[in-house]
Amino acid sequence: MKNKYLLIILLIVFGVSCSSLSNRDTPIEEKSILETDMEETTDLVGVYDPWEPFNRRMYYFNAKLDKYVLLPTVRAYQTVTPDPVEKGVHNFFKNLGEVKTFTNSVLQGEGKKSLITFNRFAINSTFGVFGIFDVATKVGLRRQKEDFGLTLAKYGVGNGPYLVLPVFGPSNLRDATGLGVDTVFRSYADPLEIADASQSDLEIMPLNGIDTRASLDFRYHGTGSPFEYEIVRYLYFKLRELEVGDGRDIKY
Amino acid sequence: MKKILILLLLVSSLCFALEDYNFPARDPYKATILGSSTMLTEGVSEKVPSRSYSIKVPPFTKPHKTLWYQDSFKFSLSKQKGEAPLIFVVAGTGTGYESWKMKAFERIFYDAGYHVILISSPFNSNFLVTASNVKVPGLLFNDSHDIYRVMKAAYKRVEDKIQVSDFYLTGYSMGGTQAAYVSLIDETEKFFHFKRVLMINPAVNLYDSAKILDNMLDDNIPGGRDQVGGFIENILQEIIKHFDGDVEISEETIYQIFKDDLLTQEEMAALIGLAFRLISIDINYLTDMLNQKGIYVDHEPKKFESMTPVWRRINGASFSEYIERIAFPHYRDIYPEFTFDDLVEMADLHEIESYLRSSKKIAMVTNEDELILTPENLEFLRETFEGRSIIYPLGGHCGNMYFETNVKNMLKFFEEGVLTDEK
Repeated sequence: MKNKYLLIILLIVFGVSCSSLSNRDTPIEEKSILETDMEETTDLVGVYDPWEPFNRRMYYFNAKLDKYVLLPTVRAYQTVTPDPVEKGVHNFFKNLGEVKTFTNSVLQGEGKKSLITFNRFAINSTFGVFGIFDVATKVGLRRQKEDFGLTLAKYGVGNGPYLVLPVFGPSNLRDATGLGVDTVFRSYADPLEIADASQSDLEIMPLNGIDTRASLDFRYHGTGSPFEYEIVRYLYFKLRELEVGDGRDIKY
Repeated sequence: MKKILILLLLVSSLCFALEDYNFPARDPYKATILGSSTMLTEGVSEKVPSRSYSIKVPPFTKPHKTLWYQDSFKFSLSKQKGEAPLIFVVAGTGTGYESWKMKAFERIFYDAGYHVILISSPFNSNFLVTASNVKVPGLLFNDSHDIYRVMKAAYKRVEDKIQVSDFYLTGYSMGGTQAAYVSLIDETEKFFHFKRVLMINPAVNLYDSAKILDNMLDDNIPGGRDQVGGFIENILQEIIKHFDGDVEISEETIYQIFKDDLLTQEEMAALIGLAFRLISIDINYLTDMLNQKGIYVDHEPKKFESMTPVWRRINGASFSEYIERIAFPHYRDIYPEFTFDDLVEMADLHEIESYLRSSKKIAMVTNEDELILTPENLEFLRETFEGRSIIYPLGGHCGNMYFETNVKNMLKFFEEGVLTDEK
């Protein structure tokens, strides 16, 4: 829930539109988030970033990739796909993502969260026709959010240096590791055996990526600020810190 | 006697009684924040067709390599199918054409049947880098000439795509102030022949207004600008304490939060100040770097160089500091005997007072509790636009622009040329 407020501040500060965020749950890996020393953050740019020269180049690379590859693809996808289909695809991938949330909730001993997520997955995979419809939310089971980065944090792993990943964007050493673990795990885990399609990851991964990008409102250099790198870095750390902070769910 | 009665009627119809105006926020700070994210009018489309354009406005120069993404001037057009009036909207200080506020105007005017062109503020980094002539904004005539130039360039870019019946112009905050100047420039250049111009919550003196906004941050955060990080932290923690459970972000949620009085007046003021300060920091940096003033930037930055040392040197510099450290010395070096008072005068609506008084096509709306106006500023607006203005009792700074009553009156003005409340 805290993200909401940060986003409000963002909204006020940058005049960023939240309308598209309001309708969709955004996967956390690609949104700006993270943790750092409370002491340090009174200075908005005081974030541990020893790899800054690399990170800045990667930020530049991502901005170009976004402009010339990802966004045009997303636009084409949105043009040819009717809105209900788009939403169905989105729900389908979000439903597959429940496996990750469930596993990590269990690893963290979050009983309530695991239960909600298990029920969501069960309901949406059956009544929701392989997750195409998000029936669970309609009956009051809200989507939870956990990943291996948060699990690591729960067991005391610090965030490590800031790291801008290719394609995925802002992260840190811990969360990047978490992302890797989650991705590897995903290709094995298929508890309800409904996700046959996901076995051929090579075929649907691109669609998953397009859907993920489509549901993010972020635009590289969208703020126009020469300090955007610093601001995004700060917000990543801050939002992630809040997620780690109380083990509660954060929604976009 | 009859005349007096008519006069009384006229005056009363121009003044809003507080009880007739049911704008939901009584506090000007709350209103300001609410209005920056909430459409308070029923039935406005969520999304309207709109396209962004990139143009090179002469005299275009290649941007510095660290600003590679500012490679062209950007604006947007929302077009109607057939012939329709075209309205230009000029953004408030530092705001870009894609901001929520600008898009809100686009939605309203598109729904009302206008072609809409959104123009970023001359203090916006895209405008400053790609289209500003002097690259030291702050003198109203200079900046408005820049705006007029980009408006012409923008219109020429889309001319063959739209059929225009008449041209209209509006702007809010500093954009409202500039709209009046742009209108005056148009009187001599005669390119658009604007039919009607509406100034929404304009600043009277840029320097006065900037100081007010600057102080909102410095005076309301304990420890001042050095403690901004801690301030953001505290606000988040405070709000977290008040709420439990998950709520999705939407306009309604934001509305609810401010309705529930979660933030103190100081905190709200500081937030508004913070939004303005982030713009000021960019302006301080960009004008310094682009003009090689050497105030904060001691060498030419490399493409992937860390900006952290510069950020620290700028140390949250305010808008007034920009005027004092960069803009004033810049103009003093160009014009001999240029004093600080000259600069302040050239950033003040009094400069074109006689035009404002005589030009019947210009109207103005503002609020009694407008944050960026001094009492003298408000008095000046009241007198100058007598009979062509509405001063709403509430709304703070631009907080009521999208409120039903305001929207109705605004559209009515552009349609009929009369600015009165709907009674």
